[in-house]
Amino acid sequence: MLPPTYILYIRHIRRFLPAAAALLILLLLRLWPFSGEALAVEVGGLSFQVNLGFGGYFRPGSYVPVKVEIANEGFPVEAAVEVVVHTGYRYPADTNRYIYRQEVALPTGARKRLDINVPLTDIYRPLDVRLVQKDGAVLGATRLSLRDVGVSSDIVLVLDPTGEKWTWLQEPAFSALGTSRRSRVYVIHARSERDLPNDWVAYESIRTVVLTDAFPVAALSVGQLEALLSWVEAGGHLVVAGGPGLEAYRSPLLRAVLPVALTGSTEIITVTDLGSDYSPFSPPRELVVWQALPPPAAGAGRISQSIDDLPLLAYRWYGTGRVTYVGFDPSQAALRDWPDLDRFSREIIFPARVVHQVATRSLEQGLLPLLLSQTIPYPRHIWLFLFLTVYGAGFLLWLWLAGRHLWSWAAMAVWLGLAAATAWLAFGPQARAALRAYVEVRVTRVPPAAGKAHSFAIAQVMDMHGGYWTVARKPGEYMAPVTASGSETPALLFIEQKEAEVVIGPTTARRPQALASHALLDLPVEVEISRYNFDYEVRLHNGTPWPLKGAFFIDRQRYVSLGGAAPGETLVTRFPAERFITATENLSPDWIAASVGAVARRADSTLERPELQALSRIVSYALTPGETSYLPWGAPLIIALLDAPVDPPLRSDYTGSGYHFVVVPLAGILREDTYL
Amino acid sequence: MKGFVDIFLHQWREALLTQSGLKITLVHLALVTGALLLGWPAAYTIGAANWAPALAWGLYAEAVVLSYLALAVPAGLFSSTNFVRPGQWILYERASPLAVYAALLFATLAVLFFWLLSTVPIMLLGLLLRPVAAETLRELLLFFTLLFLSLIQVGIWIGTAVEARTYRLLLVDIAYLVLMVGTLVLRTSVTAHVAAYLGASLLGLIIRPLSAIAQRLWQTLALETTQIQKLLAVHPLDVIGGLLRVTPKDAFAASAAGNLTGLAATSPGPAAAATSLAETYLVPWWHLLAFYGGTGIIFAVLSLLVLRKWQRRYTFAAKSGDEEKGVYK
Repeated sequence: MLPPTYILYIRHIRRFLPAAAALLILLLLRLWPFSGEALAVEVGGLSFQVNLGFGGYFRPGSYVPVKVEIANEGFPVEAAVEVVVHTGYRYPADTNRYIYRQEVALPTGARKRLDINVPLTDIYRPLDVRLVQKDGAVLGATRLSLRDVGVSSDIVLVLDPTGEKWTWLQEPAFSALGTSRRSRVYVIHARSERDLPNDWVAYESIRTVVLTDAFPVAALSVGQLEALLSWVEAGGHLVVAGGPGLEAYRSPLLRAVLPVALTGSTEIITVTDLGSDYSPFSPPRELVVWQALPPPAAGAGRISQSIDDLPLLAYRWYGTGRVTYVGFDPSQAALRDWPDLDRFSREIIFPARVVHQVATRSLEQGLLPLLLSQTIPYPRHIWLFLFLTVYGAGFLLWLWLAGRHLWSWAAMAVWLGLAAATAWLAFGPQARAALRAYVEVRVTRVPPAAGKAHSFAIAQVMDMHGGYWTVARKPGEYMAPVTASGSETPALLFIEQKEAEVVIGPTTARRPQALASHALLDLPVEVEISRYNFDYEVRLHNGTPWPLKGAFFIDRQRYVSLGGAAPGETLVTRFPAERFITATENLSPDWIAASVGAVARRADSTLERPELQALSRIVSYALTPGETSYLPWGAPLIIALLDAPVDPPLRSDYTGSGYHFVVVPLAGILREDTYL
Repeated sequence: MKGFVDIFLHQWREALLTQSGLKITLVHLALVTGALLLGWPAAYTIGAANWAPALAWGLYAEAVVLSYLALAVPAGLFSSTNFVRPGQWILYERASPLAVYAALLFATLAVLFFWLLSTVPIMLLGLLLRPVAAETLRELLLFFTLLFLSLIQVGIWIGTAVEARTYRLLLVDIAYLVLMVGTLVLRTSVTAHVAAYLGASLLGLIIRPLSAIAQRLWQTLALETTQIQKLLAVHPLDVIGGLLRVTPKDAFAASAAGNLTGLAATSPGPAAAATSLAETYLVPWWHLLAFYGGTGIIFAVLSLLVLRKWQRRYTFAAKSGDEEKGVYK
């Protein structure tokens, strides 16, 4: 039996228990490692849940969908979802923060879902998602660690409600010598249309999307389908795998990109093998195969495997991406024990690429030394020290005299003014020059299935006014950092001032600007390419009022000089394909860029050295993987220098940065039978 | 009015035109110059597109140095031999307590702004390297005025109430430590948690029926510690960092990176006109006013009470016909 004092004491302690428990919970929450799969936060009737990427995974260096589901059981509130991305060097810490913000009205009982696509590059910096009121008050926030969810391996998105198909791809392969060197594959299942994004950039993490027969295509919105196909056009890979329930033929959008024409019925055929590359079926298997016809138009598809004129495997290039058709469902039970199933399906999912990534350096890395080489011809700190010493000594002298002579106060004021004027005049111009930065906006539009592409890149200089960087832009050019990726509500990109105070915009900042390109004006430069046996003919029409110089046809393995075109003229060049410089391995963009510069100089003597340097830089930039979001690797393009005036005129020491370039990606122009 | 002018001029001469005044001016100029040079790393090439946090360093140095001077000058720490205690103006010069107080306040404020003015060419260099909006400059001036006004009150009280120089020095140092270290501790998350916990628990203990509400309040406060931290972020360097939008940590690290490793740029960054939503840089003006204003008012009242005491002594001495007796009684 406890004495009464102790009971009283325990009663008092009990009062603290809920508070202590709350503290403990709080501590546990802080210590618990967060995953990117889903995080739920609930505050005052408002709850929101965050899902990142696909199945919680994403590939660093790409746009990643952040799906935020909000439910409001409390008072109505006008709120906004902010996704805060930390980027930049870790030293000094927290240098760059990008806030992607989307506003949302939340009446009582509302349940809403927002998809915000953000570029994620650094997996060692966490991602913050928060719900804020319009006045900035934070209603709820959560932090996601990206360490375990950012994967460099291939991610395959399988559209399959059952979640069981194509799962063997993620099993590690074993060989007689041990584990294969093959990298791991993440197979993520999208079970319904809710798991699919509405913007094509959101698919950037995905290597291949597999459409299975079990997925209800009819449930997909037009926006979702268009996003999927835009992604393919920009370099993605869509595999349409057959099976009894395949609905792809019902969608006109999908039907248009399939490499075969589906009739809408299936038949069961007995198959003995799938080509000489794979082991034969023993015994022969009965497969449910779709009745398909060869593509109606030449060049709209290529059949790589067929049985009795029934296409089993076919593919086509769509934009710079690829659509593969498999006439049967490789997941079906009849194929489970086929020893080559794994190899067969891997070759479908990961077809050999034409080009490979090469180690390169970025534009910034090349440009930065150029900017930093602009040293002034004296040791600055000594001058500064001298200036400050003379000023300080003079000031003290006047102050000492002020105790004796009244006029010394006036002299002191004059001295102060003189020093300030000296600082302003001597250091001001250079300091102000230091507050100008190079910015480049590249704009392109590749209309699907069109024979023409319009594109241009603008290099400009930004000035700092009152602590803010502002683009000195010409009327008619729209370079707002606003991403309006197809949807009506633009996702505003707020860039904090701090990172704008440094040097040159990184890729991550430039890419959203490129995404806003559809809001920009096009330059009337038209390109048509034809192939005559072993010759190419390029017709480049310059509809601008400025001369076009130093045009080049370039891809990752070859280049050829095309010449130039006066305003309103059409440049017609015909050249044999074998005259390309070819290489067994991919060439470094820098090497090609340097060669282009050298060849351009020989071809056009009017080109000046800064122009040549700039041309090389743009070529290097355009070819460097990861630098351009809209030019997939290996995409052929035409680059030409447009001799348009830059307003405001650039300083001479920004050599080569102030030129306009026409960059025409040829993906939408070259047909498969045209391109080598 | 004569009393006011006399005291003002005396304080002004005492702070600036004596040998110690000249020394302070020299040290202050040297410190700010050093801060500018340190904050402008050799690796930062002028004429290239980069940015040095020199202005931030200069302002941090100003805050650190002038905060101490705002306490020390009215406390008479630098007037070694002929320090006239504020009360003595009342006794011997028959000045009113209010005139003494006002003269001390304005004279110190003027001296501090004179020192601030002396660094204009140096700050201008920092400003050229990293321009800030006119609005930011106004806010900086407002904050410095608020900070100085508050600290001068503490200094006046120390100078008025404490006779021995040693104790005055001790009190000035303690006040300075509270400002520079105490406020730093105040804004940590631990303090925020403890404050939230104690506040809610005490409420629950004192008012029994409210204990359930207190628990709720505690839970809410515990979730809002970041907000509490922000409210408690009244450290001068924090505030200046907030106004300049460069945290002290970042400014020091950026310069250190440039000085030590020769990094030319702190990071590559995009360049775009932008609206900031960064909460890190929100300056809680109302809390600053409450903290510094509250401190200032409390110590102003205390100083006036002490000066009134001197006035009473004088009145008593005058009534008794023996001023000297009244003084030394």
